[in-house]
Amino acid sequence: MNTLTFPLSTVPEIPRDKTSGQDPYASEAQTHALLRFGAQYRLQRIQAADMITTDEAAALSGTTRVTMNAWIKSGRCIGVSHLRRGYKLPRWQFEPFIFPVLAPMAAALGSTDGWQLLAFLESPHPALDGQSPRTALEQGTPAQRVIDLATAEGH
Amino acid sequence: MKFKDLHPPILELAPGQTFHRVQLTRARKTSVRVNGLLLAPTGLQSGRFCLRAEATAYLADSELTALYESMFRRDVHSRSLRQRRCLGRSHPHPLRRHAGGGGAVRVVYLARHARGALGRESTPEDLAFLSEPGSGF
Repeated sequence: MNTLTFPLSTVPEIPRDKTSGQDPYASEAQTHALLRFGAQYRLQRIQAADMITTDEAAALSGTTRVTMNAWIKSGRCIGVSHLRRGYKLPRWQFEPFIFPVLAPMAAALGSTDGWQLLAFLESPHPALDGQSPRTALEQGTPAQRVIDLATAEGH
Repeated sequence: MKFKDLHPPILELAPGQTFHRVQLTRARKTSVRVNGLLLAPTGLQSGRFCLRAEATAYLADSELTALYESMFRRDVHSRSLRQRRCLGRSHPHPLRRHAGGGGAVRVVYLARHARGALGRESTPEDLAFLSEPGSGF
């Protein structure tokens, strides 16, 4: 069996293009553009057709708006806000395959932040063969598997 | 077929190399704590190199690689960096892949080229398995 000494110990610097002399870090303008893009993404996501208001969510789940706000704050359901315009909630979270998973998933992630919960559920995950946790749950993946991945994500 | 049956070459890193890892600023109740590293509980198998019975630490050779591999590899639109910090640790002894396994923690080394200049996904060939009995991690 071969033993190779990895040469990286001799070059501990962060890779950068020394020939160009350019700063490898993003400029202030680039950082501002990135933050603008993030705000724009959130605005688009919150205006998507699958998002409903707290009143609509309360009617859908047979509760009140007050209860719905309490559920959002405790991580029992997902509510996202942008620029203090009130919460919007993804309608699909009230489906029976996903609603019971939300509270333990939030606890596993260690967060009740709606954007964080939404991002986890909608992001492809390599451990789910590239499926998002939401899709995996819909297609029958055991809830415990998704909660385990949320625990790992929360670390 | 078992991995060791493939007779992969042993990769050894000289002592003094600094490794970087993005991790929580405070341990959670379920965190596995190994010499300053805060790891996810054993057996979750969330990463490609996680083992069922051992905690796994993913360490990178630069801050940028650590950030990319831990936070931005997945095709995400939104990511929270709260309660995270980038930890830099150097190791006093040579690190090498431990053929038999069984160490207190499995270390997966994320090489610089794994990050990819074009942001491509790294492949298993880009990565080296390392575990380090008594190396200080």
